Amino acid sequence: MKYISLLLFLLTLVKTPLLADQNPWGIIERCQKASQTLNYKGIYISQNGQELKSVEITHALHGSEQFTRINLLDGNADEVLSQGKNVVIYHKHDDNVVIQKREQQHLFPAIFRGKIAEIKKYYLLSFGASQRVAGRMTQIVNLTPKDSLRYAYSFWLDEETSLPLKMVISNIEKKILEQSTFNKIQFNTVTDLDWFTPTLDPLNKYLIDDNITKEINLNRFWRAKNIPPGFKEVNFMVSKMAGINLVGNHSVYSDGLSYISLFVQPVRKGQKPKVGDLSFNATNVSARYYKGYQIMAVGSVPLKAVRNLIDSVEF
Amino acid sequence: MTEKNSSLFDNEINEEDIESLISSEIKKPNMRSQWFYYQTIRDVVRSEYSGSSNLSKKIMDAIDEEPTQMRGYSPAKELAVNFNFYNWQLILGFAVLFAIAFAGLNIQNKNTVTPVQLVYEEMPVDIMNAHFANTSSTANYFVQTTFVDN
Repeated sequence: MKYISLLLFLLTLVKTPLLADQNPWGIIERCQKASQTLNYKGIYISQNGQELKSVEITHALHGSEQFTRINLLDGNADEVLSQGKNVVIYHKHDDNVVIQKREQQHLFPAIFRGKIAEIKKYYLLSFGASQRVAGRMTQIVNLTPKDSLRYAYSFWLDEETSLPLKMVISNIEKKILEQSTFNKIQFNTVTDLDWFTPTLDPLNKYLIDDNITKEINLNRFWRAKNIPPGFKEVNFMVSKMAGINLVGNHSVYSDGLSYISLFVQPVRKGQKPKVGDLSFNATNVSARYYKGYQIMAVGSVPLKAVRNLIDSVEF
Repeated sequence: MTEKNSSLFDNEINEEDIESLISSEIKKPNMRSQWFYYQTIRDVVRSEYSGSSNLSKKIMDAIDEEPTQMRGYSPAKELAVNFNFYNWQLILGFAVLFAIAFAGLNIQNKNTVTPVQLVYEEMPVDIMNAHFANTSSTANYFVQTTFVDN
């Protein structure tokens, strides 16, 4: 009996990915690859604060190109279709459907977009227990920040495919700020692209929202001296501000998992600039008024990170 | 000499300079086109241009469309409307001056502004939309951040 117990214990150790893989971060690389290459269809629940939404997702790799359709099942029947880098949203509002083009995203479960080596520098990886999610066995993987400038991420990775079936974002007090979890998923049921089409209603009026950020050739006149370590600028946009012919700047920084937006916008006549901090769900906002400009940072990061960023903007 | 040409069309030149300016410059072939530019731009800005039924509107629309940044300006490569026979640098220069002057009317005088405390109810919707549209990891935040304020 003693030998049987020992044998079972040893078998458990062998199954642990940390021991099974010489490179523990390899599991994150497999997770990234799985979200890009697998064909799957499922329904997951997303929770932001008190808000819960059901989302249906279909993903397929055809040739070298990824196709994704996302349908919101609660509230507005909005949907997203993405093919490669092209993302189009069909936002259904009253009897209208507003069609909007967007940038490539990092939506659950395809959370990892960039280089894993960058994430490695600022997060510690650890393994948790095995748990059942959406009827499948998963391995819990935790990414704990090495500093206080980002949140912790936990992933429940499908043991067979490495696709994340659940994700939890929590703060230093281990309070859950945001989570997404599949309650149903099927692999390899998607074989063609017949599903890759928006749900069109001929009675609706379709509008193209071309009020999106245009590429405008203007120099950046400001600089941020204290960008949180590990965060790199992944996007810089110059866009027209609503109602007036002035432009504002929007810079997006990321460490590969967390994102911060920095806005530098002229204050309009009659508008009162905002100062101070604000927190809701996983989002923190910090605002400052400087030389006629509203400086505001918004991010799914601790308050300290956004506050340091806006305080360091100068021109 | 180009400064004098511009002054002439803006009625800012001395009478005694007019005759010499015309006699010396108007005879040069390249100056004819330059005079035409000045004249056209002056008329457009004063809404007096009648050379083409919609040219004036096109130029004003192009000026309106050209976004203005109050600091660190460098001109855009091209405007929305394409006129082959115009000196673009000149028109763009006027457009920039006009747009900056126009934009100056729309921005707050920083000396008279009193900032207010940031509160959730007054969080700028355009900023939140832009943030979630570019950074969200959950589909519901990502999708429902169009310009429609729900």
